[in-house]
Amino acid sequence: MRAETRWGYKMMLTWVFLAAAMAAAISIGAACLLQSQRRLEGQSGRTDRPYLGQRKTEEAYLAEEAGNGSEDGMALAKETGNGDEDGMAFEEDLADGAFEESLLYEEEYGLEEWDDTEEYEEPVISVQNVTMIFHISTSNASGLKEYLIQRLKHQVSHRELIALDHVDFDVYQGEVVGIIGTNGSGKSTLLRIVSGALRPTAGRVLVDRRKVQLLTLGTGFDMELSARENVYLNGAMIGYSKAFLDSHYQRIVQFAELEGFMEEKVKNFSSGMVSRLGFAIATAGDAAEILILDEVLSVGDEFFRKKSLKRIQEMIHGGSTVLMVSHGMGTILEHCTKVVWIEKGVLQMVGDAAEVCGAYRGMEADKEKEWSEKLG
Amino acid sequence: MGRNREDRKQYLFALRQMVTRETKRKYARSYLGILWSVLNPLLHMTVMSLVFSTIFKRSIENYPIYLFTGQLFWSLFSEATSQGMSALTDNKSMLLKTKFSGQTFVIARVLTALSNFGYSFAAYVVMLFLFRIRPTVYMLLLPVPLILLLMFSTGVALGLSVFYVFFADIKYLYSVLLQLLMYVSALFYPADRLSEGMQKVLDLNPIYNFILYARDVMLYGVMPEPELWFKIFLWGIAGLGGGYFLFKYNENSVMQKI
Repeated sequence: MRAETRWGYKMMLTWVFLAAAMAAAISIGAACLLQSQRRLEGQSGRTDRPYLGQRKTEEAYLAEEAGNGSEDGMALAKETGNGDEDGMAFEEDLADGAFEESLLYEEEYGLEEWDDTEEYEEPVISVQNVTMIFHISTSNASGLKEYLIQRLKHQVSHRELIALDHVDFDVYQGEVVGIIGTNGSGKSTLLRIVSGALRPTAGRVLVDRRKVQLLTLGTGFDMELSARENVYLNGAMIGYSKAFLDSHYQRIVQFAELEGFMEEKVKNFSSGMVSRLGFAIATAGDAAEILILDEVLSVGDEFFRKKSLKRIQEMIHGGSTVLMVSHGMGTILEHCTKVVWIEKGVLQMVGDAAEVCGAYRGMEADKEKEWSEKLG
Repeated sequence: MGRNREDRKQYLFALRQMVTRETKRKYARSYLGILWSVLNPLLHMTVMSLVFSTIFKRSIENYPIYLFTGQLFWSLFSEATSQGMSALTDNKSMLLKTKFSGQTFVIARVLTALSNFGYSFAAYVVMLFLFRIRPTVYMLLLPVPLILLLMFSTGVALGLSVFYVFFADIKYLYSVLLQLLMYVSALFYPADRLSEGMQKVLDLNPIYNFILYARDVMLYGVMPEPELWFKIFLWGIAGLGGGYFLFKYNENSVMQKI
């Protein structure tokens, strides 16, 4: 009897120890997470705390840390605990300079507060001084353990990637605006911000999000499901009702030219078939008031491309305001009334399609020349 | 108002599509398909009964049912949370495309676990008949722990899904934690055999409380004590609230990271 209770006691200790270890691991994770979150949002203009206050906490933080250097576990707990409260240690360099001014901007969605007295026509999309900064960890900590170790050693550093740098333009009712720029210049980031999936680091976008429809292709299919199931799944996610999908199902299949393949699993499809299906689903609905097209026009074979172009044209002529990204200069020149050129996150030019495309081509030609010289 | 209703309908439709998809995916290449949801817990129960019933026969009457009740609730929790954890990462591309916010994907995973619970429950009802468990009015209280456990699981899954975006390691850590939780849930052993201290540890385990409640109403046909009521309500509401808060608070950085 006695032996049994003692055994129980030891067991209990073991359990408690295990549980404590788990709790500690989780809370440390939470602290790191909160800290990285703060870092991401520190400059977003939501921090209205005075700058001095931040510095103070940072000093306190350093002092506290120095005080407990010896005991690893303690230092860890203190450090992360501190990070949990106001982990601003990393923010000093971010908070000054260019970002201070960003504090002046507030984020805002919706058109409620539009000033009607303005002389010109109201823009439908107004991108105002949008800056987007991503933090890319330069330390290659692949997991929690390494991350913690590097954090303890103060090796975690972050590189800033300025995806968009004070981008500013307006889009008016009925315009077809093309966004051009080389790969990685921030076009897709811009579209995501406009569609509301991302919040900009600074600046604001004024747009009625209920009217926005984002069309992207080939993504979001479940390879294990049949094409039919994917139509319903994808349609539901885009926002089509069941009744709508039931009545438009035949049209989608016909448009994608996939009659007889709909019960097949999508993983057996060729990439052309997948993107045709994607296009057919995405454009099945009536055109939304604001259409955002992310590279939807480079799909399938020549024949299908013509057909999809026609469909997009129909939607454009239906009175939608369109914002599109495309690598095909021809498409841009042909359809766009206005072109925005972004290069490495910086707005280069906004204006007439022919003019901007001309300038862009000029830059490309320069680059090519440079390369050919380098290569000899 | 009309718009709201339409939105809700659309939301439910999308949720249903996602649940169907998860279920289909899960059994994509098996012959028996969804039947496994019924068979699996039955087989599990049989094996566990064979192994443990000789040991605990005297202290637990209706051992298989004792086991099954716990197992049913335990697998709901473990499946909902461990599947829900990766919901955001798995649906990356869809997340950027859709107008629904991220929690929809997590909720869909939790509901998938619930639908599995439904199939297992069918087997459970059959077992109740076979073991001649006398039906009581208290059985009608079963939805109480079920709903509260769902709330709790949703909260945990929401929190975990955020962590998982930043640290994929949490997956392995969590599987260990789940194991720990399982052993202190008194699934297959009688709790009163343990030392007092150990029982206190068990009392702190949320899942154990849900299981206790379920056993009270199903197996023993008694009204659960007020303290137990209080506890499961507390866990359910606090779990959901905490998880939801964590999720909302981190939503933007999750979108950036993804």
